[in-house]
Amino acid sequence: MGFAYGDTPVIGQVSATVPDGGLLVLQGPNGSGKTTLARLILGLAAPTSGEVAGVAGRPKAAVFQEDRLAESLTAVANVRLVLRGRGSLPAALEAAGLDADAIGRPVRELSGGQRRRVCLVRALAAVAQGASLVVLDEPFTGIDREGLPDLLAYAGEHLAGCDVALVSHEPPATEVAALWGRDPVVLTLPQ
Amino acid sequence: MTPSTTPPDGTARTRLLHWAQALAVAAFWLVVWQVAAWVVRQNLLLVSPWQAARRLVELVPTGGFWATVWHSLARIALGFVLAVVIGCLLAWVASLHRWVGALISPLVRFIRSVPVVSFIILVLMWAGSGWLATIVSCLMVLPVVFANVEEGLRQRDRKLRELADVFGLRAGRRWLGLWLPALWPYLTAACRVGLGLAWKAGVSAEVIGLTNGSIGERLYQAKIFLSTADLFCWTAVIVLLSWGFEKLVLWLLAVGERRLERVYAK
Repeated sequence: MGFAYGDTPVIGQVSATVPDGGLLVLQGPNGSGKTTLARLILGLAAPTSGEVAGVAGRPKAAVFQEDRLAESLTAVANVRLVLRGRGSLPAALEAAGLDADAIGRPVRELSGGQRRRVCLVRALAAVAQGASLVVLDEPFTGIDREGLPDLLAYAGEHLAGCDVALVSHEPPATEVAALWGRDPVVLTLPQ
Repeated sequence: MTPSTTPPDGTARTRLLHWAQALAVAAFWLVVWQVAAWVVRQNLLLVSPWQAARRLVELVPTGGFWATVWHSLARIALGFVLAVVIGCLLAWVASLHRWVGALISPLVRFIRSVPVVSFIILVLMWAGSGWLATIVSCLMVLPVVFANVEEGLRQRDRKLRELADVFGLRAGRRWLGLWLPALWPYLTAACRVGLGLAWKAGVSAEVIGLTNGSIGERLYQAKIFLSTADLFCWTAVIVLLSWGFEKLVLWLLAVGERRLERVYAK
């Protein structure tokens, strides 16, 4: 498939096949179209040539490149918003490294790393409720070094068996894949 | 009772200071008013605050005073509420499609540009003076609410819309969790401006339309009978009602905002 804005090509012809429950790593230099490809996978844009097969109609979840949080709501409310029914969200947020104080505050008052954790828990909570396709666009940006290993392990555990598309510079996506014990399909986008 | 030795905490002290400052400012302007009354020395032109207050004390125990207050308060408040409801609905409808917006926006701009007096005369001819204050207040506040809420709807974050699409959020959740919390500050700003407008336009309509049993009618009678004390007394009543109504509406909006923030918090 490929994608262009008018006459300006953003993604040349690329092709990849990911098995069920597989991990697709999107890599390439800045501006190569990784985020655009992530949007295509999520169905937020349509390719101008070819197709993204096997994703339409599936319950999805995402960590976007930007946080995309409802700023006046608390961390719990932001996660609850995308879920059906009720679950033990404070526990999930604490397991992802947020303390009780941060969980109860509007997310606009949280640090960049804390907000990122909320985004990740939101996506993982949706997975727990049946989302089978997850796009993670730089999900670990702003996470402190000390907390990163635990958060990576937490995410890997909850994403097991799920189709995942991952964009990550820091830590590199291939390292994340290794840590999660998954054999990724790597799609490298040229400049 | 043992007096507390605990110093007031930061919030209490701030509140105390705030009230002390407000009282000091009020006292300052009352003194200015009193001095001006002494200088003018003509009750027909300017009564003292003491005389206005004395007239108010005379009026307050009478049934007629409360009936008049209720008459104007109910009609102007209703006009304001109608303006908020209709303004929000029109803004929402206008946001649905560009063409619908193109149809509604000029109408609201037209309403905003028409002088209040023109509306008063038109409504008097069409509907009489009974609900004049309600209709005129509504027409004055409506464009403010429409413009603010429409702007709020236009500013809805495209990225949050995408988030809602990806996670499959239904309309109710989108509104309760995303759009209403984001719209609330726009609505609050509209209400702040609209509250003052509603009272000014409503009482003006009552004065011109001579609505029976209204504050506007009392103001008109004060002018006819050259009763300056009544004029100042009823003006003070309008200011107090407007202030109280504004406090009530803003409190309700603040409560609503907190409720919205808590819908998904537990």
